[in-house]
Order: sequence, then C-alpha cells, then structure tokens
Amino acid sequence: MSTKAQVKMETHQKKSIEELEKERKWWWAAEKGRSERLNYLRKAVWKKGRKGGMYEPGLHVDLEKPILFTESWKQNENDPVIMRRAKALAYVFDNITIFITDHSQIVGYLGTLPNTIMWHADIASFINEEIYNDPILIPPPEEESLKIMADINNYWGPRDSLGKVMRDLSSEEAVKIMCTVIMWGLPIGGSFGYAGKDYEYFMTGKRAFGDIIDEIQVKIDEAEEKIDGNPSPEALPLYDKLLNWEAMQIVLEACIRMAKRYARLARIIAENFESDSRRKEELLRIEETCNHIPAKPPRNLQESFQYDHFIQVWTRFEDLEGAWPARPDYYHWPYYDKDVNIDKSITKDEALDLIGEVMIRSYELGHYIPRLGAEGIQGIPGTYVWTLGGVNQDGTDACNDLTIAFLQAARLIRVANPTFAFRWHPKVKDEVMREIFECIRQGLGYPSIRNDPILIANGMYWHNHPLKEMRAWVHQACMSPCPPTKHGAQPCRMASATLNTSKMIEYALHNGYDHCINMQMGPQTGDASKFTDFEQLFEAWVNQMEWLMNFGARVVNIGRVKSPKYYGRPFLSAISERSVERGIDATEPEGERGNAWTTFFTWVENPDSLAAVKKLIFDEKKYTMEELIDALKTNWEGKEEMRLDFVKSAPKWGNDDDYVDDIMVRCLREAARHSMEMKCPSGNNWPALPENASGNIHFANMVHALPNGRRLGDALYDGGLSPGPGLDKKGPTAVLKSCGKIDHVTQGKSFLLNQRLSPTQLSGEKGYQLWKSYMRAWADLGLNHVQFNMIDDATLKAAQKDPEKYQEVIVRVAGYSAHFVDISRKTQDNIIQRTIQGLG
Amino acid sequence: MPRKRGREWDVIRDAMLGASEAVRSVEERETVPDKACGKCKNFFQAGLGTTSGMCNVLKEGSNIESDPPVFVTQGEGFIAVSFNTDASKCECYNEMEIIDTDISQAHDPMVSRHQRQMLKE
Repeated sequence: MSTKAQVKMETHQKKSIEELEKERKWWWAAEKGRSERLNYLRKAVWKKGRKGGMYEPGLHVDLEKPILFTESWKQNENDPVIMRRAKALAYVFDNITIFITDHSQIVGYLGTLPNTIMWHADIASFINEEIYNDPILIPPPEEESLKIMADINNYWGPRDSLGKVMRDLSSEEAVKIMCTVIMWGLPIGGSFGYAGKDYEYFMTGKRAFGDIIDEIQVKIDEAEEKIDGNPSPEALPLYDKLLNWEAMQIVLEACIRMAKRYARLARIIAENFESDSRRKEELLRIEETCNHIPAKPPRNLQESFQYDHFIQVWTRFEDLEGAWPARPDYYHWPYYDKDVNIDKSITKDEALDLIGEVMIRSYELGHYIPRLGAEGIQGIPGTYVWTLGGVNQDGTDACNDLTIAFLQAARLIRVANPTFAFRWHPKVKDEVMREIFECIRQGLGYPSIRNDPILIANGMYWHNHPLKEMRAWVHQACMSPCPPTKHGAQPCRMASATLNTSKMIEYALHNGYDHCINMQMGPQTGDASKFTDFEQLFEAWVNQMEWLMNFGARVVNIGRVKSPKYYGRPFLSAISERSVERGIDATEPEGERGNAWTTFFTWVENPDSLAAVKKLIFDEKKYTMEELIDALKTNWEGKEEMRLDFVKSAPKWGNDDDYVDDIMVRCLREAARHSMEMKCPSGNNWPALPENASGNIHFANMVHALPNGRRLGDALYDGGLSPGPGLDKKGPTAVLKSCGKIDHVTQGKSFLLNQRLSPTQLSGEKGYQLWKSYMRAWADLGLNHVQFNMIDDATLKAAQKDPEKYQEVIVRVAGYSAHFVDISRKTQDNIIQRTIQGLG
Repeated sequence: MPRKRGREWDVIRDAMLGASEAVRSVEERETVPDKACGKCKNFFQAGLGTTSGMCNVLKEGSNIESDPPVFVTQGEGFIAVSFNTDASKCECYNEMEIIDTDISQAHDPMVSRHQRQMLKE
C-alpha cells in the first residue's frame, strides 16, 4: 500500500472512531482502534461468568483435573495430607493437556480447552453434586461423562474438606450455615475465598522459583541437622515443617516443569505447524520465556507478565480463588520502563498488545463456582479487581506510564473482568485523572475510585499494619485493602464471613425467628409487637447484630485454623515468605497480622427500616407495632396503602437528612464497637465492610418484608452506602453529604457507593470538569469509595429488548463490572432503577 | 442463646451432608420420581448445592420413606430431603402448579428448580 493510501486509510479510520465515539458506540470504536492481534484474542475468548445460575451454552466442566488429582490422591493414600496435595498438584501439572491460543504471547489456562471450566473435586461434595446436576456443563458424550462424574463424586463425597469442617462446628451452627439465608460462602480453604499474595516476596525481581527452592533447601538442611542432634522439644515441630517445605519444593519444581512443557509445545508448533515467519518468532519467544521463568526472575515485560500469569493460573489450579488481588502497574513497571523507555526494545503499541492480552488471559480464567456464589457475583467468575495508582512506600506518587497504558488497554479490549480500582490521592496528575474519566465515560464502570490517605489510615487503625506496608496495599477482593507483604498478606479470606445483614432488623422484629425458612435462627430478643419505644427495638437490633457478626466470624475462625489440616496450600505457601521462613502452610495464621472483615451485604435496609419504625410508629404514632408486625408477617398483603406510607413518608438514607443519617451512624458505631470485641485467629479485629456485589438480588427471596416498605422478593438496595434505587431525591451532593457523616477510618473497613451519571451531561471537556469538581467534594468529605455507571436508560432498555445487539454493553454492578446481558433480569432492572444524578 | 450440640441438630446436619456424601449410581442420581420433594411446594432448595433442601412443614423425626412413614410437624429443626427424594408416601405432599426452571435468573428457593434432571421432566 502506498504511503498516501495508508495515510488516507488511517485518517478514515481515525474519523470513524471519532464518529463512533460521538455516538457512544464504544465497542465498535474499540474494535477499530485495537491491533489485529487483540481483536482476534478478544473475540476468541469464552466468557466464564454465570447469568443467574446459567453458564453460557457450549461451556463444559473439565474432567482432566479431577481425574488426575483423584488418581494421584488414591496412589498416595499413606502420605500426610499436605504431601498428598503437593503430589496430586504436581501430577496434574505434569500430565494435564495444554494448548497455546493462536496469536497469543502469554500462555497458561485453567483447563484443557478454551471452553472448559475447572472443577476442584476435593473441596465440597455439595459443589460436586451441583456440577453433576448442572444443565449446561456436562461434556459430551453425556452418558460417559456422567459415569465418570458419579465415580468422582462417590469417591470425594465422604472425603471433602467442607464436610470435615462442618463436623468440627457445633451441629446447630453447621445446619444454620447450610440453610444459607444468613451467610454467603463456605468456611473452608478452597471455598471461593480470596487468597492474597506476598508480591513483595516473589514479584520484585529479587527471586524466582529456583531461588526459593534453594532457600527451602537451606531450611531443610538446617532442620535435619537439628533433628539428628540431641533430642529436644524444639526439634519436634520440625517434623511437620519438613513436610511443608518438601511439599513446597515438590510443587515449585512441578511448576518449572509445566512451564517447560509450554516451551516445548511452542517450539513444536513453530517448527512443525507454523508457516508465518513472524508468528514463528513469537512462538520461539514464548519458548525462551517459558524456559527462563519461573525458575529465574523475569528480564523483560513479556517475561514479567508471563511469570505473574503463570502464578495466578497455578494458584487457581490449587484452590477455588474467587478474587485476584494485584497491582500490575506497580510490580511490572520496572520492566515496562526498561523495555519501552530505556532500551526501547518494544514500542508503546507492542506493550499495549501485551497489556491487553494479559487482561484477556485473565478474563478467560474461570472455575466452577457454586450457584450461591455465582448469584452473588453475576456475570463474572470472580472479582478480579486489580489495583492501580496509589503511592510508593515513601509516599510519593506511584502512577506511571504503565498506569496510563492499563487504562488505555482497558478501553481497547473492553472486558468485564478484570476491572480496576484506582487509589486516588492528592498528588495524582491530571493526565491520569483524564484517563480514568475516559474509562468511566466510555461505559466500563471502572475504575472505581478509592481514597488512598483514608484507606491507609484505615488499615493502620483496624489491623495495625505499619505505614509503609499500608502504602503498598492492594484490593483483596472488590473493596478490602490489604498489604501484599510478609506479615500483611492475607492468604485465606473466606467468603462465608459475608453476612446477609438485613436479617438483623428482620430478626429484631420477629424475635429471632426466620419466616422464610420457618425456623428460630437468631436469639430471642423479645416480642417486638410489645415494644413501647424505639430504644427497645434498637437494643434488640444490637443483639441480633452481635449474634450475626459473631456467628460469621466464629465459623470462619474455625474454618481458618482447620484449613492447614484439611486443605493445605503448598503452592501458595511456596510463594509466601512467612511460610517459607517458618515451614508452615500459608493458611496457618501464625505470624500473619490478620486482615479479617465481615462483609455486610444488604446493609442499608437496617437504618432505613429503623428510621421508618421510629418516625411512623414511635414519633408520629400513625401505626402500632402490632399492626406493623402483622403487616410484615403477611408480606404487606392487603396493606398496600400502609406499605406505601412506609416507603414515602419515612425518611430515607442518602438525602442529607439527619433523622435517618444519625441512625445509620449509630448503627455503624455499634458495629464498629463490636468489631473491636471480635478477634480473628491472629488476635486482630473484625471490622465491617458494607457492600453487596449482587447479593442484593441473590438474597431477595430470602429476606422477608421490611419496614422500609420492601416486600419479600423485591431486590434489596445495591450498595454498602448506596441509597435505595430512586430513593435519593435530593441530588448527588446530598448523597455525598449523607455518606460524609460516617467516619470512613474508624466506623468500618470500607463502604461501597454506587452512583449513576448522565453520559450526555458529562460529554466533552465540560463534562470532565464537572466530574472533577464532584470528585473534589467526594475527597473533601473523606469518603473512601465511589464508582460510576454512565450509560443511559434508553441503551439499557434496548439491551433488554434486543440482547443480541448489545452483547458488549458493560455496567458496574457492585464492586465489579459485568456485561449487561450476562446478569439476570432482576439485576438489570435494579441497575436501571438507580437514580441518574445530574452534576453541577 | 445456648449452643446446641444435641442429637436433633446432629441428625439434621448429617442428613444435609449425607445428601451429597452418599455413594449413588448414575441411575439413582438421574431418577426423579413422579412425586418428588423437588416438585412439592413445601421444598425449600438449600443454598449449598442443588441436591439437598429442607421441608418447610415436616420437622426432625419425620421419615417419609420408611414403612410406615413418620410425620412430625412440631419441633425446632426441619428435615433435610433431596430434590429427587420419593415423596409418594408423604401426606404433606403439595404439588407445585408451576416450577420455575429459568436458570438464567437468581434462584428463588421456593419455586426455582435448576437441576438438569428436573429440566428433563
């Protein structure tokens, strides 16, 4: 093509992108803007999230991993659990089928084909049965697969980890967990939990797996010398430590072998099946990369990304990790700087290709998550929230060219997972803020914005993390900050510390009885129909709150201390300095500072309901408590006028109304007080973190009628601090002012605030300036979080009518984003109902 | 509230866990009787897994599969049953008129049945 023609084409292409952007056709604009490679990779990927309970047709559960894992498990039945786990994992790494996607530069996947989903058969027989019963996932030929799956289920049925923990708990506790109306998740390692990584140990370029194997060998040699010496009590723990160290070594060596399998495959394809010389070169670079890492530290950006990606894949071979704590612009920055800015060995566009691919490779990873988990995070297989921005450990701005490159890549590939959460601080430059705004304006729903100074203070307040470590914090899941350091990293956070907190007010009103499952669940705190003043109700609420928080924390504490015994993690241990140094499993709390929190799903119903009762019953005396309890028990049946009075006449959170805002602050103060009374296995606190994911939809049929006017089955409010959809009537500043009455350092660990903004109002430079001044008010009021949807109702309603045409519309659901067509109708409606705030 | 480790709770826990721990053939897993608990209005689908659930009427001590069946309606704890437990002898069986099999929506424990075997019906 002549230069003139090329310029003409580029001009045309540029113009088309601008036109498309003007029309807010973001997907089509992105398609024109990205490279051919990214275009192919983005379109070749299979989504792994569930819509409601449904996987995308064409997906299958992968049977190789459970078959291989079980084979090895049976072969090594005389070994201790940790050795069996290490050997089984190594056996899988050595034997599982691998593949390399065309045009890709990064390799590693959780299955044997791109449309397969990983199944961890050793975690919970409940999950195994659910997979067996799944309408979509049985691989063809079905009859043969069902036989294999029944055999796997029959073997693991009495051997799973969850069953053991359930028998360690009191039987009443176990039953109440299994009812799943008060909690979300399972109290065991491998429980769709969130495994933080000690990035400071393995990702700073100082060491890689070969070095760690050597470090462990020194430990083994020292321990054996002590064991062989004079017998003493000090020598006795060394026997268990030796097992852990050996298990770590077994897995690390298997990881190196698996990387070399990829290297070999790349060479085989290059030499035998590839005719394109450029692609041959790429395949040989993959070979070189996989021969070098993870044994040795990365030397360039591709190796750094590959090393990180392998680690993320391998930890997910080991466990059902539901989150992806990461800080890519910080840990990969030295390699980007060297390759792009200093050596100029790759161009910015080539780097952008790698960054885009890293995100796509993450997007495609998925393992089977139980239905209750899937409904709480609809549309995605886990909350892969990557942290960007923030400060360095000396307090200077950590944003760099790679921060910007990640934000640009996100707009080009438009995946719903991973998403970003940006650590805002006063030194962030305008050019970075503009990139962030552009992502939000282009409808990605991310990054969410986090207030770095507030959250650094928060981590120091609740968990005694030192300043320097808190400055390194990453998102442990959607919202919770955690330092990725030796004593700060949280290797095992269980989702079962997620509480359906609307039950606090529900049980306070019904004497602890649950009318959804006809069972006494909470403590008997008195017949609310006989309460004569608000303080009696509030006292009952406090008792129910304490009971529920205690329940969640106690169960997780037990699950946590039992994890090393039932579900040890030799690989995660091998990349955690604390474990390598001490010869303990990563899930062992010893030496960990603790970063526990109870997630408060469905929280805002509490203050809104309490305020409604206070005003309409005790202040205005329009109704009696007896009438209210009666109406709630019958789900407001025949009482529509009364119900609407509770919706419309009672003050609602988010309108800068002290009446209800004071109740919110009082509730949080009580929860914060109790958070200090509960201790995690490390002896640290259990602060609350109000947010919802899509738990507001999952629990909709499990929370009875409430005094805020809600009926059984109605969607619950969507955020940890978000006002009820359509109930914030006084504009965005009033929402911020209500939220600003909370102390975001001492009254909880984090608070999620969803806001919807108008894409029309926020177009152009004027829109950016409006948003920036909104963000200034947000920062001045000391809020810790905010995230935005910027898609109009017309587009969302059109997507409901004609989903095929709107496959790529992304929305912010809660602490994560999802494609609008991948979430259930109720969740879609809930997002449309959120108030669109006009700024300025 | 006193912690309970009594037999009643043990029985319920073991029944709930047992639904997924038992060794069963493909045929047993695939068979859904004409009158199955999963087709009854009183079945509350447990959140953990799609096999087990709770009866909203019968309390611990009931056994709908024994001969003769035992029905207990008073007590604190429910009985755990599976979606394909044979309910042909249950005097409380109350067949659902409509079963919500739309697996793309969030689950309603009272009316949703998402098991592959139920969808085949």
